[in-house]
Amino acid sequence: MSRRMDHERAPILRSKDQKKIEMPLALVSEERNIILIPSELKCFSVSTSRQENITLESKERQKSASQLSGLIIFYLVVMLVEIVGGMKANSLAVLTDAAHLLTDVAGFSISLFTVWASAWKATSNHSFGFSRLEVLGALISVQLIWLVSALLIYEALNRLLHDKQKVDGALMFAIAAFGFFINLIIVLWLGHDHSHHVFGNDHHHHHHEHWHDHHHDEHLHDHHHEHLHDHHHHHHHHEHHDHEGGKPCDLTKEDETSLVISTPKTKILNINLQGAYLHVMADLIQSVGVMIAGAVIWLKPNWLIVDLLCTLIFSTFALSTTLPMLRDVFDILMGRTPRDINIDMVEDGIKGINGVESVHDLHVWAITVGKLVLSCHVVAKPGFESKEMISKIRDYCESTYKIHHITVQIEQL
Amino acid sequence: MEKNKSFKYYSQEPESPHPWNAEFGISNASDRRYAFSRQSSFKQSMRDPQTPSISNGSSKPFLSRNVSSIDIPPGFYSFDHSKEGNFDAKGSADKFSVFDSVFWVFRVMRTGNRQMKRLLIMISLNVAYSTAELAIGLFTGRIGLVSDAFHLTFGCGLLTFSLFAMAASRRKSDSVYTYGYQRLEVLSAFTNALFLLFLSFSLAVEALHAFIQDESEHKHYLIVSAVTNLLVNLMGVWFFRNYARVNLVYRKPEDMNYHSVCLHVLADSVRRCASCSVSIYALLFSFIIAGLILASWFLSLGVNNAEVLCLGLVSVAVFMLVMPLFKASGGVLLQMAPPNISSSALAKCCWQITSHEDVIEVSQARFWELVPGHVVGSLSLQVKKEMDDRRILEYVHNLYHELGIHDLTVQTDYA
Repeated sequence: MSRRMDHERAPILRSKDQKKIEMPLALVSEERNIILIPSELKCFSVSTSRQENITLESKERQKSASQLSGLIIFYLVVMLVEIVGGMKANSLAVLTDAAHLLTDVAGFSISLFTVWASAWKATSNHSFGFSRLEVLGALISVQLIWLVSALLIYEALNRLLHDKQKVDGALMFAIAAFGFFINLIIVLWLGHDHSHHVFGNDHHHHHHEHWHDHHHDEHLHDHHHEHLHDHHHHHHHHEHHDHEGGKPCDLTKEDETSLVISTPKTKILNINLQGAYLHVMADLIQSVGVMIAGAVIWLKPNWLIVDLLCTLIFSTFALSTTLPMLRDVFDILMGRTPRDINIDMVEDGIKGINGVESVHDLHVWAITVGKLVLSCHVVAKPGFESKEMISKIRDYCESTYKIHHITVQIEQL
Repeated sequence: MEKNKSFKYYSQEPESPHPWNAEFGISNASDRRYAFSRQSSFKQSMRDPQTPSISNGSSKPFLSRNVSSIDIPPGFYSFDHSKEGNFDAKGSADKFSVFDSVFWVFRVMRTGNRQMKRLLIMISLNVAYSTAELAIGLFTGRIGLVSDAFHLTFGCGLLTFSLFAMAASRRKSDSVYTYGYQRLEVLSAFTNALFLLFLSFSLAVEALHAFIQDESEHKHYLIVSAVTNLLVNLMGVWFFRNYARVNLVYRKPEDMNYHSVCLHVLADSVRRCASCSVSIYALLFSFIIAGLILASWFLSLGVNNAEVLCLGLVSVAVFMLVMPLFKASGGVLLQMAPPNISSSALAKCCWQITSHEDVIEVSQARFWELVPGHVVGSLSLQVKKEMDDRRILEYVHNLYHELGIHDLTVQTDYA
């Protein structure tokens, strides 16, 4: 199974020539690809704009890694402070809080590990690379949050039923306030530029914006008119018209970089960081709950049941914030079509390409949040060159849906 | 190969090699690792009652395949798609009202296969038991009973998820879940395994706690509840006794789920014994797992440390029991290469393709398991000249068909 990239790239680029790409760009990009392709990506075919994606991914990975390590160190320090203070004050509550922080650190280290692991080269056993690890890591991390919440509820019940001792409301409030402020700082630090949905429709719109600006004047090419008429019988995505013709043709360097820079703005909190963020968020919500309970018990020392109530209410609230991410994780693990892609439209789009008779066995799924895979079987009308059809389908998928790993089986009637 | 697999688990089909024979050197008949070694009625019970009855002449895949609405054109290897409207998927998997869930429980009771019904019985018993325990605990103020009830409820929740996975995974694939819902079983197995790992960690923490504090709170009243619950759990283990092994070869998607349920119940019963290790009975039970040789040594150390040791032992035992299941289900979820098919067999296929006269090279060969037993692959070929790709495609498909890989997408690029 030799995987020389040159062979594979050559037919793609040659077919792109047919679409009237300026030759200098093609040559430049071909050379660039030959020199710069990292060996880890031999499994996947690479196109020109993917180069930026790869370097961007590694930068993003480094940034996530540094943020996560910072978080871990910070939490370890706070944990040490709490352990020392708790042992001195002989308070069980502080020690349990420290244990809570320990689980947070565990969650962060899992995320850090998956960030590091997703850079590993793909092997024959792991033919898709190790990116899936981050999804599993996120699942484990969120399960830790659930576990901790269950333990907290159990503890609260225990305290209520078993240790009917005097609870120091002031101390509770103080500890909770301390935790609250720490978590608040971290939330602000982590979350100053993130979007709530990892699968946003946002980055699609970003694309559209950019391309509307730059490619209004490209319709002059006759070739593209043909394409446009063939591809889109129904005008659901009129923005995609610009994509369709525009991408292979007029993509200057500046457009590429500006295009690619637009994506991180919405994707900056990748799934690893999002797991960490959820840990901190759950902590924050719990602290608020404990603060309220502490304040109430401070004022009215007999209302111990408030502790249990607050714990229950705020735990449920914290757990509900993890639900969107769990939904995304389950989607990916189940091999579901990503939520921002309508598979019927993909099918129609492919069917609309010249020479395609019908499409079947179409599967679109995600390896991890940003990486999508498509595979399908296409029945071709007689007389059409399969090479050209494959490259057209590939361009369509890459430009419209950002699906980069495509395998198409062409069957002749 | 599923069509051959559906009726005979153990007899070797004369016409084609059993796909799992790719694991060279393992004799099927005497391999005790295979789950279905003894139960003759198993195949009847495993047959999905949703599928319409099959005449022996037609070959119908046992697993519900990913049914796409368009068939493969004739000329390729015969491949049966079946459209069954029995269990039509509701709009989306997310919406699930209370009415739906009640209705669905009845449907499970009516149509579920034997394992599902057993699981349902077990879950309902557990739920009844835990509510009773909770009530009694609250009334009499015994915190031990309440905490026990909570643990039980937590476990019940997980078992319910397994049951839900078993039922929901039989839905046909639709446009959103193009590969169908079978992966839900693997997911539930993974979640169960994860929970069991957490359980083992918490047992270790408890052992440490008991060691440090050195306080043995003898909760005598817990013995009654422990014994009762142990009986329920043992019944569960008996239901799933085919899966009461550590290393199991998973052939069908349900295997993982059943295995996880069995381990869950097993671990629960063992833990229960360990945590109330006051009685000799409990000690003995835990020591059966540890080994009788160690038992005398432990007893000589004095009963004080027995609880710590018990907990520690059980923690280690649960961890080791669960690890294979965790790794296997994790591997499926991670899109790893299928463990059933040896990499040498795959490499051999690749080599055979490359040595075909028209093929230059093979690249991007990726195989992954959708669920245990269903392998999906995709390949990219560089072919020498513009020629009839049907021949090459058929050749490649046949090669992998023998390995048991039916879902293959082959992309041919012409040099």
